[in-house]
Amino acid sequence: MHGLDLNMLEWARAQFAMTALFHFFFVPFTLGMSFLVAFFETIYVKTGKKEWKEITQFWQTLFGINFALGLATGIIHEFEFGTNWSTYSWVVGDLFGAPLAVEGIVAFFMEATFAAISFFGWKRVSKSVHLASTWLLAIGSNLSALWILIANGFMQHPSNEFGFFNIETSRLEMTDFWALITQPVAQIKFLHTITASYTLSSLFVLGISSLYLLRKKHVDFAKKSAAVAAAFGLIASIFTAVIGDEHAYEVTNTQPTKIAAAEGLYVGEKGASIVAFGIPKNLPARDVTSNDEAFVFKIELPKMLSLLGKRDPNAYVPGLKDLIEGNPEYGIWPLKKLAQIGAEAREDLRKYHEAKKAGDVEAMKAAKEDFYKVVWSDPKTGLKITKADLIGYGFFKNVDNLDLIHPPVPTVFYAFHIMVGLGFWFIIIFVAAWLKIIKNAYENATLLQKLAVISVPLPWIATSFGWMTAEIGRQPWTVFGVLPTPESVTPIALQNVQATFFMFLTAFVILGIAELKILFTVVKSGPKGAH
Amino acid sequence: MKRLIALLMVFFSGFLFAAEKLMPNGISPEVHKIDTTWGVILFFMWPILIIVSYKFIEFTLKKSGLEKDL
Repeated sequence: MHGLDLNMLEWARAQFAMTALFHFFFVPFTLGMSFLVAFFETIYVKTGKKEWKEITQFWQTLFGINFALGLATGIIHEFEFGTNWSTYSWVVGDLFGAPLAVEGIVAFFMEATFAAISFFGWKRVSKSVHLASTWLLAIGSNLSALWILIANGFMQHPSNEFGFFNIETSRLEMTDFWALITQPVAQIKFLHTITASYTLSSLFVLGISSLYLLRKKHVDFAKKSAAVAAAFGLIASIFTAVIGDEHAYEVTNTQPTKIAAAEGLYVGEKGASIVAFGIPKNLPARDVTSNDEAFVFKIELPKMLSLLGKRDPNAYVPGLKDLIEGNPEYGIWPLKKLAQIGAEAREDLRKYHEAKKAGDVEAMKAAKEDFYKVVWSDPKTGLKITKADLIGYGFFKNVDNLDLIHPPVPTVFYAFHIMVGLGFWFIIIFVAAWLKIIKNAYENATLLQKLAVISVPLPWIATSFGWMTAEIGRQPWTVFGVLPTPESVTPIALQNVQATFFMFLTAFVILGIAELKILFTVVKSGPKGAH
Repeated sequence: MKRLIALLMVFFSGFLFAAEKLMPNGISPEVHKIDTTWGVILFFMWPILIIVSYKFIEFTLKKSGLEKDL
């Protein structure tokens, strides 16, 4: 630690969370709408009918408003890595920065180029060139998400298969770019995020179309838009659940503290249950002796957590208590042991650099050998864990409250459960709407239309809670198991972060109001008012 | 319609089957070996998903009678 005031950490986290949440209001809409617009335009080019061009241009206008604000807020994010999180940027920049750089150079420029043609080139280029631009814009914006999620995947699962802690530079450095970009943790996050985004934008189109149908305005436009949205939304919402299951499986095995917090599992169990509904208490894990006392009330689905998390209904799923106190029966090391090894690695690092200053080559060699000493190897996979891999745990050596090692249970529990519950609601809405649409009966399904309109904001809530589950669930680490969050901040005066926090808050409120006002105006004007 | 639903079921069940066969398992975060083959397969689910979605949209428009000329 740098002797920092913890308030500085909390303000930096609050600022980042605020920017991330505001940015994430625009991102999923852009990811999904870009493909919906491409679908609409493809139908227009295939049929040659003007009404499809009108449909494409209307939804493209709404997409364009979001696209601009998404870009602007994303740039603020990147600056914050430098201003508030410079220690993080310096320590992991070699691994985290690479996908971010590719995102900027390849995907961002691809988006920017084809956005110009797609938005402003209707009368300037041929139909086929315009269609290709719209598709390339959609692919580019989704590739942007891919690279960002590869970077985030590294933060969730920083394997020593693609990077190592270099004792010479005191930084994490990349060894295998291919492993970094193809690690399943990142790819699963990508698929889960984009399909959730497709669900969000489909429900937006379905909801606005339903609003027109309820008001008996733009009926033909609304029916066609709703049909495309319901079909895309049905596939996307089901796939979100399928890949969400895969995501939960992967999290159970790579971030056990996150899944334990999300399910309020304090004490590890064989045949662990999922809590379908419940009110968890905010208790220190060490005081909890049974999972029942950790809830005010709960309704469980027996064995489901073991089944979904381990693919075996009777498998053992570790709880927060096991992850703190250890469980030799299942090969889980206590936090104290990990912290001891981490502290030794920090000491080796210090000794190495002192010896380097003194020009003592022998001492340098000894410190280096000790730093990279193998402390565990997996007989099945041959993977080896060195002291250097556990350096982050050294931070917890002198921390009295070992409960700091896991995320806050109620926050992660509620965020996760609300996200999952809403996900199932979206499937129900899309199945019902699609069945009515193929029977050409959606126009008269007033109740369903009302439900679709009411549901428009819900995917934004679901995706935001999804992010909160992922990011708060990773705490107290910025890079899981490697770099603790309090170690990652910039050692600057608190007032700087407070000042920029309120500056960004003001800007976001103004931008948010402007965005909503423009959106409502365009929606109110209808398809003919869009162009 | 039945063929399309069968196709979608094959798509989703094939995905789950592949997941079971290829996803590695481990109890601690440090021993979770990276399977790059599975990562590449996952990536290609994205374009497949987009193509399946577009075909499903065309089917929906034809079936509902909203657009016959596709």
